[in-house]
Amino acid sequence: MTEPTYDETIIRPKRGFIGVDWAELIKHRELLYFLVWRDVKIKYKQAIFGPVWAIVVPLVQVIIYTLIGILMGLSSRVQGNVPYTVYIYAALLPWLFINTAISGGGMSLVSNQALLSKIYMPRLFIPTAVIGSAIVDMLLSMIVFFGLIGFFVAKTHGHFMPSWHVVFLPALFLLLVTSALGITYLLSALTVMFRDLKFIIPFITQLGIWLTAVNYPQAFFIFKHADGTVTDYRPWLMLNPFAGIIQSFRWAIVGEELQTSQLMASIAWALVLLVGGLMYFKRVERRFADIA
Amino acid sequence: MSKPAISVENICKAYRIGLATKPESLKHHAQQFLRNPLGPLKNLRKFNEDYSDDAEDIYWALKDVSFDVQRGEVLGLIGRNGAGKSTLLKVLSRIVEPTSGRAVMRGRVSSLLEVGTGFHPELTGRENVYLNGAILGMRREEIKRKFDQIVEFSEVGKFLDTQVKRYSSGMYVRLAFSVAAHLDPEIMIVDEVLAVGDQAFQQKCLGKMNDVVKQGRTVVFVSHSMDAVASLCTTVIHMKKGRPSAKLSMEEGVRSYLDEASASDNLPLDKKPRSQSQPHDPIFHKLAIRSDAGESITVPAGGRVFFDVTMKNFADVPGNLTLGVGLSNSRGQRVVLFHTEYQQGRTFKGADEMTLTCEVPSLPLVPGSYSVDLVLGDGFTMVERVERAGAIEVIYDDYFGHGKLPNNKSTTLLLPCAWN
Repeated sequence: MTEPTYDETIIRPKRGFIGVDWAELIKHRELLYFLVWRDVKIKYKQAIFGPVWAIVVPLVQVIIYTLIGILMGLSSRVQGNVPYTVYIYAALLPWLFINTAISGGGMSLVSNQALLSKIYMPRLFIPTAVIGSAIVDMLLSMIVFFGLIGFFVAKTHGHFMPSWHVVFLPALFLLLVTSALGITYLLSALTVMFRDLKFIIPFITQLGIWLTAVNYPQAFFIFKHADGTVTDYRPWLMLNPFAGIIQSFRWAIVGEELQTSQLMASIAWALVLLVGGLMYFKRVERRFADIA
Repeated sequence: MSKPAISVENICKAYRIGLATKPESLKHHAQQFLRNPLGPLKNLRKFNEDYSDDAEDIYWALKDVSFDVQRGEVLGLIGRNGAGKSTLLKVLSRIVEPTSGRAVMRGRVSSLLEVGTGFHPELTGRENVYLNGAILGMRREEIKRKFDQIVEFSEVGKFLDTQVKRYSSGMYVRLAFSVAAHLDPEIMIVDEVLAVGDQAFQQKCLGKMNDVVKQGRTVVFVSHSMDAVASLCTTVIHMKKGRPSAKLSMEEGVRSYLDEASASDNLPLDKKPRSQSQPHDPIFHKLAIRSDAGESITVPAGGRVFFDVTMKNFADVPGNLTLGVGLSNSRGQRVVLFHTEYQQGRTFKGADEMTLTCEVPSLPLVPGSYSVDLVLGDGFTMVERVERAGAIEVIYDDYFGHGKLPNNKSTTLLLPCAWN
C-alpha cells in the first residue's frame, strides 16, 4: 500500500528578510472576500439608512467645504467654468479613501486581536480588507458624483464639461489603491508595535486634509509678494505622498493643469510605501500574537 | 514505518517579561534612543539571539519540547495553568513563532483554540457561519455543502437570521462549536473548548470528537477535564513549567496530573495559579467556606454550606459577568456547579471589590474530599478561573435517616427515592 502524501508545514523561527507568501494568499483568497463583506455589512448594519451614509457623508463634507470656499473667496482661485462643488468633490473622493486607509487601516489589526492571537490566517488580509470595503464606499460615492457632474453640465448648458482626461481615472485609481495599501500595511503593523499611534492617527488625517490641499485649490501655494515677484511653494507638496494623487484626480475630472512632478513623486511614494509597508509588516508579523 | 503526523524537535519559546503584556511605547523608545542612539540595534540582535538560560527578564514558556505524534494518535496535553500547554498549541498552530527548534506538521491542520473566533455580534447566525468557516480555513463551497449539517448540529435553526448579539451565551457557543466541528482536517489541534454549553451539548461535542478520532484523524488536545482526557486520548504528555513529560499512557498521565495538582493547594487564593483569557491582575482574592457550624471546610453530607467569594480590581472587566463555584471529586471529575446564571439567571457588573455568597441549602454528596473551582465568565468566555481554589471535606451524616450511605466508588450524588 502506498502512503498517501501530505502537505508538509514546517514551523521554525524565521530570520532576516521574510517574503510574502503569495501562494498562500491566493489559496485563501475567499477569506479576503469574506472579510471585506464583513466590514461592509457591519458598517451599515444598524444604521437605518444603511449604505445611504456612504453617499451622504462625503456629500455633506462637500457642501460644507463649498460654502466655506465661497464665503472665504477660495473659489475665485479656480480657473475655467468649473463649479466649485465639483472641484472640491473631485479631491474629496480620493481623500476620503486615503482617510479610511489611514484611520481604519491603522486600527485594523488592533481591533481584530482575536484573529491574531487565536487563529492562524494570512494576516495581511486584515488591513487589505479595510481597503476592500473602502473601494465599495468609493464606488457608491462615485455614482453620486457622476450624477452631480451631470446636473452641473445641464445647469450650465454645457459650459462646464468634465475633462476628457477622465479616461485616466482607472490608472489613477490603481495608484490610489497602491499607496493606500502601502500606508495601511505600515500603519496597521506600527499600531500593534506602538500603541501611541492610536492617538496620533486622528491628527494625521485631520492635518492631512489641509496639507494635501483637498478642501482648497493648490493655487494658494503660489505666493505673490508686495513687489510683484511670485514664489511657488507647490514643489513642497512632493513631500506629501498623496498630494500628487489628489491633484491628478482634479486634473482628470475638471481639467486643472497637471502637476507632473507631484504625480511622479506620488508614484514613487506609492511604490516605496507598498514595498516598505509590506516589508515592515512581514518583519514584525511573527511577533503580533506575542504582543496583541 | 510512515512518517509521524507531527514531529516536534526541541521547540523553545521564550518571552521577554513585560513584552508580552506591555506593548512598547514610543516614549520609552525615544528615551532609550536619546540615551544611546545605537542601543535599539543592539537590543534587536539581543532579542533574536541572546536567550541565555540565566537571563533574568526571560521567561521560558516552552523548553526543549520534543515528541512525535503518529497518524491516528490522540494526544492529550495536560498540566497546570502556565505549564505551557496553550503556548505549545499556539506554536503548532503557527500563531506564535518558536524561539528555537522546529516542528513539522504533515497534513491539513485545523486549530481550534477558541470557539467563535471572528464571530461578530452584529451579524446574523447565518452570516457568522460563513465568516467563521472562512476564518477557520473552509472554502465557500465547503461551507455551503455542510451548512445544513452545521445548523442541525447547533440546534439554533430558528434563530439563524437573528443577530448573534441577541443569542444566549449557550446558543452562541453551540453555533460556534458546530462550525468548528465540521472542519475536515487531517490534524486537529484543540484547546479546552469542549467545556462549553450545557451538559447535553458537551456530551454531543465529546461524541463529535470521538467520531473525528474514529476516522483516524490525528488530534492534539488540551484539557483540564480528566474525564475528557480519559475518554478521548490514547496517549498523554504532562507539561510542567514548559517541559514535557515522556509520553504516558492515559492512566499514568491522569495520575501524574492529580498528584501535581494536590501539591500547590496550600497557597493563599490570591497567589494561586489561575488562567485568564486576557492578562489581568488576579481577581479572585478570597474564598471562605462556611457550614452551619461556622467557618469550616467540613460539611456533613446533605448539610448546608456557604461559599463567600471575594473578587477585587475587576471594575474594568466589561459585560454581564457570571460566577460559578464548581466542586470536583478526588478523581478530578466535576460533580456540581453552582452558577449565578444557570441556577438563577443572574449576572453582575465588574467592581473594585465585591463579595458574593452562594448558599447551598443541601449538599447531597458522598463523603470524601472535593476541590472547589472558581470561574468568572462574561457570558461568552472565561475571564478568570482558579482550579482548586479551596477544598471541602464532606463527612458522614445520617442523610437518608437509617444510618447507611453509599461510598464514593458506587456514586457521587445522594438523592432520595422511594422503593415499593
